Amino acid sequence: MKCHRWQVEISARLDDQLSSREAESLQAHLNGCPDCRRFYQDQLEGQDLLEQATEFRLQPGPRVWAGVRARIAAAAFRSGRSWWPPHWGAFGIPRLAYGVVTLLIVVAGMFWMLRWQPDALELRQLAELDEFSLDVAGNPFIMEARFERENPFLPVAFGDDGNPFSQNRGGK
Amino acid sequence: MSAEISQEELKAIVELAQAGSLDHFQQLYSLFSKPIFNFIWRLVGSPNEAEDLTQDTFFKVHSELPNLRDPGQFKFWLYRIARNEVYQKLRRSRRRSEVSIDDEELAFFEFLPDESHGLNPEKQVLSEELNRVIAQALQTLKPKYRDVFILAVFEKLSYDEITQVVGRSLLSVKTDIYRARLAVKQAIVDYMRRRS
Repeated sequence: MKCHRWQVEISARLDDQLSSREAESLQAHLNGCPDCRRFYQDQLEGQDLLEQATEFRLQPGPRVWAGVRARIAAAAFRSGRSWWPPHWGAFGIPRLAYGVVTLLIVVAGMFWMLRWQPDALELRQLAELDEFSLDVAGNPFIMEARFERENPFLPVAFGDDGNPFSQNRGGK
Repeated sequence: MSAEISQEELKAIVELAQAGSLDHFQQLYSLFSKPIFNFIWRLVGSPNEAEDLTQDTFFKVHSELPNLRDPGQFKFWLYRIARNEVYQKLRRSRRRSEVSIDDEELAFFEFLPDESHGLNPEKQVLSEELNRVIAQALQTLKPKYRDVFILAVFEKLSYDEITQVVGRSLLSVKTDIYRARLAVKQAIVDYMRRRS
């Protein structure tokens, strides 16, 4: 090994980084090499001061941790729901819940529409107006009849007296 | 630093911090902020910049912590992030690789020195002077020499640990520390001559 490589080993020795076997090899070389021995002595000079310099350490100010905390909080706020599972939607509600609620609303609406029947008063009025008997209650066409009456686009069936407001219709 | 707790304890704290505990992350900060700050300060030469970079480092550590596969590697991983933050900052600011220290004139005297070593005032002054000389010498080095030297001499990491931080071979690390030592040693000798 050339002296340059031994000098690298000397540097490692100053950092106490040689194994006992490596240290023995180096010592054997130093015993027989005046140049490397001189280099080693040179390096030892000032080593104490270097060691002393390593004792000088600074303390980070409190603003460092305060800054880290603030940035963590800001990042969490920015990402909003970053800590929610990925299948969760806004406001921390799972997307599945949105689907279920929507489905329930649709089903409830359909159920309400299917269950709608004219009440007794409406039936009575219809019966009087159209001379329907009350036994038509439950007749599915009654809704259609009602629809026809309320549809503004259907031609108005005038009464016998020609008065469109007359309840006395002809032909029925 | 990490010498105050066992490797198992450190691993447990890292795992809890990975699970999202801010208290345990703060514990990691308490354990490592000083060595990381000093490492960065010696790399960049400015305590103010070192504080900013320490903050960047720990914020990044918090963001990336869930991705750390082996909590036992936390210390090396942390130094690696700190080193990367420094190099990114240097690249961003388009400074020359030897960081200018003229502006702040090594204003570390304004910073609180660590009281734990209990240096007497005379020794403290000498230590500050010496650190100024060493800091100036370090700033003339290429970053790749500077970081391994700081890790070995000031942070007392073993050469094997340094290879894990910098991702270079043991031989390369040894050689770079040797080169840095020559420069720093020369600066110290010159300083001693000036004093005497």
